[in-house]
Amino acid sequence: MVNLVTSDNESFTVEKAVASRSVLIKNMLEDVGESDQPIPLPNVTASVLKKVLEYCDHHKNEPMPTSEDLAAEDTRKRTTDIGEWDQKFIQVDQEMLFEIILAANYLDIKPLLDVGCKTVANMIKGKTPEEIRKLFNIVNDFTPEEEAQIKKENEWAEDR
Amino acid sequence: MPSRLPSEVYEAIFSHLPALRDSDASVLTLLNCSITCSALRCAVTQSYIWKPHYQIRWVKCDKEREAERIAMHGGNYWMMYVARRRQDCAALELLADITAAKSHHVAMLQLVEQLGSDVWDIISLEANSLGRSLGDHQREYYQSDRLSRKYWAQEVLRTLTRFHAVRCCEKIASGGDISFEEGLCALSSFHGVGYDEIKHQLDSLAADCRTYLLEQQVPLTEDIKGHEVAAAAVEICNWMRIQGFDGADSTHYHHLSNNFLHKVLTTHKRTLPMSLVCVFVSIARRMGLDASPVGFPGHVIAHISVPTLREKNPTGAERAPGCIYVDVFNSRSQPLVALPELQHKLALMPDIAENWDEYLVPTQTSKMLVRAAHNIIHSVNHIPSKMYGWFGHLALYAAITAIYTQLEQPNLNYLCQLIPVMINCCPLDVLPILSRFAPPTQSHSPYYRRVQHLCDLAKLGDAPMMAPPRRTSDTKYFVGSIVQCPDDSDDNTGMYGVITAWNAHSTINGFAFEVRAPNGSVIAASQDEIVPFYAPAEPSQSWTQNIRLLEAAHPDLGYFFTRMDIDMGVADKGLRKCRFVMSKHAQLMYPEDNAESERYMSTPIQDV
Repeated sequence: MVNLVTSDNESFTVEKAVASRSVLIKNMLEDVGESDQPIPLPNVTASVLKKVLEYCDHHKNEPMPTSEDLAAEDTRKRTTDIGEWDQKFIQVDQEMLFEIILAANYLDIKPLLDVGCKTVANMIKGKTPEEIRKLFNIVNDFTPEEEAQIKKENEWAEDR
Repeated sequence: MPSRLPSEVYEAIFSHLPALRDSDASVLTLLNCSITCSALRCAVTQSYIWKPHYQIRWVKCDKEREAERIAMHGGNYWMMYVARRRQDCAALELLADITAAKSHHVAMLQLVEQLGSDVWDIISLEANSLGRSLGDHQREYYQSDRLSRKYWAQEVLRTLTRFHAVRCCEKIASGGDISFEEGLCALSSFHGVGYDEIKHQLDSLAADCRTYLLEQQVPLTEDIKGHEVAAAAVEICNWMRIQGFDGADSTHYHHLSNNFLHKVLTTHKRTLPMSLVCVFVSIARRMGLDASPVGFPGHVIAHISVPTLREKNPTGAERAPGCIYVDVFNSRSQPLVALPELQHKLALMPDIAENWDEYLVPTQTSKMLVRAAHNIIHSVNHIPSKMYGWFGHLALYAAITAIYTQLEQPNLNYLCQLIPVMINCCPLDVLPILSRFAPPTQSHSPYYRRVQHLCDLAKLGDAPMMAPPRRTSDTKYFVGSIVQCPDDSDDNTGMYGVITAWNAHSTINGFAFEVRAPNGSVIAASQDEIVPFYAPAEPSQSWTQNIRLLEAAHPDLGYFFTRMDIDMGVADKGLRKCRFVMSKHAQLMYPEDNAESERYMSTPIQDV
């Protein structure tokens, strides 16, 4: 069993197979060897980790993606299809969705990161720039001149 | 809510937008992201994000231009994507000019010379009506020029394919390294079938044949032995016959299609020695055998070089050849032919008493091409005159081009036959291709002057190259009238066709129209034989079906018309006027009809 401690100081005890879905944790465990020391996760809160561990538990018996799989990803036809269980799992509010993505990125859980990113990719489809800004909570930092310039550069897409 | 995601997460999100060939949805989303803020723009414009979008959109390219593009943009797919999209916009503008008969010959020349193969994908999208999201929107359907756009996109592709075939022939003539199969494919290209397509078919044939050979325990290793090569050759012939590739009998021998690989690979597998040897050589080479055609007098055979055979028999005068000969055409009775047998045959031919060796070694692609071209002309001569139609015209075009490009002093009489082919079948070829066939060294000939005249006409404007029969006198019908089909066959009964031309051969009543019918036929009819047609006030299923059939049965409808048009005002006694709107090209040919067509649409039904 592995003991994980979140940023808000909650501790979770999980099977090694579950925790090892995270490449970050897997590498840590390999580095330190057998140890009862709790592993601190200063970038993840308890509510998010709970959700992430739910995902890891469901997928614990699947083979880990190999580096070849990851290399093949680029050439493979991209798809925004998501498995049934994953789809249900990722039906969370927007804030939690981004938290999960950040956690998956930090913990290095590639399949979970993919599920999150695919979900967001589906969300931004067909959205206007303003709607996208709202979704990502970002501010337009272009000057009006810069914005006009970019729009002009994108003109090739207009008449189609 | 995090105020910002790390840039690698943005990139991961963008990389999950699927690359689509027939839609801009993902690309437009990416562009919208690019104007939200500088951080997202930075993530969006990463080269690797654009690589799949680039690769799915452009399958073909002009290799030299692609290399230049990669060098210029340092292989950055985002920048290359933008560059090619801009180029596609330029291509679409030229296509629009061609469609609208706005200096269309010059526009075609610019497409070929300035953009080359780079335009292939965008024009194919247009030809398949995928370029613009037409969908089922009724408004788009009635307002667009989709019929003529699609037609001209297909014409442009055919001209591009022929242009590449001509370039290929020129390369062969200048000693370029072009394989026998690619050389022979150039002939099919005149019918609009490119080498890529045929190569793909040959690849898959060779893969199937390999499986068969392995089942027959034929070893296909690199150090394959002499007698094993012979066994492999025989088995390839056997497999080919199982697949239907066999010698044509005397009734079908001169069938024109037998000369063209795209036909040979599909509907004309029982074919000529030349075509059979080409299929054989293509398969054998893909298995690592050093196979080539031999232009033996009488009929073409195949040659497989096997150096080990020579080493085994280092005897004196009657030296054994380092090769085997395969008579694919007669493979049913005797697939392998020995050297002495061939020598014996040659000895019986008095006019080639010398230079025997020339007929016993692989023949250059150039000579094979000329021979194939002569086969075509021979086949054409077997067809009663005026019976060979489009396929015959294009076959002749292919043959003449092949001969012209390979011979130093071609017969100008042959070349003269090209002119009507150009005018009737492929007007867009005049500037990019026909002008290549009239070098100033021939300026003394009447042929040269005719070509020059045609090219001048093409450069000047858009007047039709051949004056069509015009409207003869007053009639309410016009090019574009939708009429009840004359009863010439059962499957036309109750169907509606469209008048596409005035028939040159006037019938008894003085008027004659050409009516294109939904069953694909073109009917000549006099005024008394046709009845005008009005569309129902509400579009009915049978009406829609009728128009669909009509459009599908006549791919050249787009030459005459831009779209079908219905008067959408208040219906008159449950009826609406309808017509096909004349294209710019048709308007140039039939100016009076266009005025009549407009007048018809602006007059109430009872006054028509």
